[in-house]
Amino acid sequence: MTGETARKLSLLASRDPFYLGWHFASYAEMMSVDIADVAGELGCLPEVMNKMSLCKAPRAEPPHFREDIEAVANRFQVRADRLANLVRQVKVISDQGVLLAARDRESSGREDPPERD
Amino acid sequence: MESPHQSDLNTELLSLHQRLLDDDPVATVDFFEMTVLALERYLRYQFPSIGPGVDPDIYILATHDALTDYFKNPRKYDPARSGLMTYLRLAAKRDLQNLLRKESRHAIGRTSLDSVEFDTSDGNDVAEMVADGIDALRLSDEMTQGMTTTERDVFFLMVEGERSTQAAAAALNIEHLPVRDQVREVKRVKDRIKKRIQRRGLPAP
Repeated sequence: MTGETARKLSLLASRDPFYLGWHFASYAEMMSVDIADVAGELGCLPEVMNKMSLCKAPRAEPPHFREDIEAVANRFQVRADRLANLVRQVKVISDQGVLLAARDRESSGREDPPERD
Repeated sequence: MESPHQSDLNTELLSLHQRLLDDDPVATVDFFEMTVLALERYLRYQFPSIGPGVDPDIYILATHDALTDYFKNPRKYDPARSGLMTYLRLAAKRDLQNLLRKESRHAIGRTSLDSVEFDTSDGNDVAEMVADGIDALRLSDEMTQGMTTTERDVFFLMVEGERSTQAAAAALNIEHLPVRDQVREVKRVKDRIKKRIQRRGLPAP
């Protein structure tokens, strides 16, 4: 796979939470930084991160989360603790986003109850 | 009989398939590494003309969509029915046809809005490509029963009307061999397919 193909695939992966690339893109957005800065934070080159983006996102359950993070970190020679923190932060924020959206829906539902006959 | 190279590829792909089933997060990267160029090349070969204004990255998009769908549902693939590469090729082809259909509809919408006379030639091309794909997908199990994965790969190409040695060699992943060996291997596989079909009393594709 050429570097250019990996770059294009990582862009596609950044749109799908199935991939680790989505977590990288979300983190970059949260922190208002470039994706290259995220690579720097993980201690790898952007080219390496393009390929790492194509990994399946780690499973959320604690025993599997650690296993998956370590598998990715070992393969791409990045710090497992930094990768784990990044994924956790994105998960917390995205979960909060879901909760806030649900709360918004709930409160707007209370303000405008459906009309009855 | 499958060539050693083809057999190695199938074995490697099946081992990757097992890693996916085992939730190995890195298996997806290895799948991309191993298949993406071959799938993209296959799509470019099958659909050399995608129409004006269509993003040339549509091939890679279709490849990505097909692989992602497979990664999300690896159990949909049944190793007893076909080779994994054949399965992925057909999936990528279907995804490309869907994307081209969407592009075609958008083109129609854009043209109507602009009130410009619409040239349907691109739309017809897409319709023909879709029909070709559907024909290929309608192959009965009876036709491919008893074939090896290699024979099925080439069989699908023959049904689609693809006669060139180059395409069959690509399907067999023997492009690294000298041309003379490629020709010999392709002929051997095609002859075997024809004999199998004739033995079943069916017309050769």
